Amino acid sequence: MIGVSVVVDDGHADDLGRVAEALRAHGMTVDALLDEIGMITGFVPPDGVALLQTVAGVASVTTQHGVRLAPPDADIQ
Amino acid sequence: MIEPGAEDTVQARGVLPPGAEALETTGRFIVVFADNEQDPAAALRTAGLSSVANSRDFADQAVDPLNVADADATIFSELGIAVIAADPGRARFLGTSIESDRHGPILSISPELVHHVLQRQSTATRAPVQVAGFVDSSAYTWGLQATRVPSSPFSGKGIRVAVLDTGFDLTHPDFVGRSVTAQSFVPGEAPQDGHGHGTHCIGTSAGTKTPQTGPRYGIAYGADILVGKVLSNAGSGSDGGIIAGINWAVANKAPVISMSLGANVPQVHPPYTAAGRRALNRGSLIIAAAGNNANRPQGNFGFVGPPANSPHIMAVAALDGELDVAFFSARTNAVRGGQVDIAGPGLRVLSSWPMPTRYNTISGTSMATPHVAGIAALWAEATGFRGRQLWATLVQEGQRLLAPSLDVGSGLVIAPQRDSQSISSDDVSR
Repeated sequence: MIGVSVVVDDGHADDLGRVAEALRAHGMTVDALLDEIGMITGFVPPDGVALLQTVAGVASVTTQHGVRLAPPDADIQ
Repeated sequence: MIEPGAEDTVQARGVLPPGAEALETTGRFIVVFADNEQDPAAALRTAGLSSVANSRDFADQAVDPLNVADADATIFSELGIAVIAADPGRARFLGTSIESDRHGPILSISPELVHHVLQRQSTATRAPVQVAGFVDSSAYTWGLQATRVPSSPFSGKGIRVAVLDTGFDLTHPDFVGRSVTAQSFVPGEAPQDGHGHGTHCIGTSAGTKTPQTGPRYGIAYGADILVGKVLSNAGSGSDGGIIAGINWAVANKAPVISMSLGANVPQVHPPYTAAGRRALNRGSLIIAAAGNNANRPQGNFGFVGPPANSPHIMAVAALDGELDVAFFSARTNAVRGGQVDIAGPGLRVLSSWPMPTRYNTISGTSMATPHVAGIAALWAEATGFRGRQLWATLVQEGQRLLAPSLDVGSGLVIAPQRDSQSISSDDVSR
């Protein structure tokens, strides 16, 4: 499973619950519905990303990136 | 401010910068009315100006200069401004209504100036001399001095500042009695900072005015602090937690969201484009570190990575004490939104650190970012501006620098001063 961030389009921003149901039906494990910014995060099998893009109301599906700080004793952070 | 009579004295003061010329005036005056003045014509008639023309009497308010040549005054009603023909004595008499009542109908009276098409000047223009070499004093860190925080009357009172980072040392003695709300978005970790980075960033943006020891290092000492832990004690995190933190900060109506984090890839990351835009729409400005991926002495200028390279997220570069770009600070990236927007102090920055260490001095665009965030909170308090208006004010008020704009954007972030409310109201425009 890989982490994905789904941006819901402006037209469906008030309808996150329904979009989430459709995403689940297309194989996504939904982690969080983020109402304020119209996004849904969760997990999907590596070959399942493309299928999520077909769901009505989905603007984009992006694989989650990681960020990493320098260690606490580094001079530049 | 140019006042009646100034045309006689400006030259004598000897304050003209190289290339400046003496004021050339028409003999008429420009009157600025208060925002709440309903009947400027009546105010002018009271002052003895009988023939008053009004732009409203012209089609599309296009005032024909020949038609108003004989008028004592012409009111431009869209602007609340009038041009009056009066001798300096009468102009001063009108001006007394300013002295007698600050909220009188007239805010200012200035001589009308003659303007010319700009021409190339024969003398070589020189860039303004910059104050160089800021260092920490016993009273203030160099970053606070450079950004004019010590003289700002604002504290960020009533403004929520969200810092999305490694959490916060909730036991730090410099924050006793402060409004702190903490939430972790890292699975299995409490908001308590096990790294130090988050405590340092919160110290700069919202630390106390009176630390236990050492110089003042904190900016918005009156702000409410929202601690969103989105990076683990090991310093790592992923989009999911960061986005959840943004959503939480927006839901909690934080006008300022500070994110000293990023990835070293040049591409814009779509979730941050959407999150930045929607946060702005709800009055939350996201301020993010440009990144430390430059190594300028080696000829590597780096690039602004996500989330700072998103079009609706403000990207912050780091400056040294000479107000030059720091050697590690990333340069503007050619993608849309990839520009550096503004710069803050980011080399050898002293701030709070988890106990028992208490304080630490480190460098990075991570340290420049909370300078901008804390000062954004001061501006939010001073002007009432949120979202895009707050963004515009920060860049508009930035101190321009000799360094290239693609390295420092609009320059050094500057704190609002006593007269800075005039941006949102004309109360002190004179």
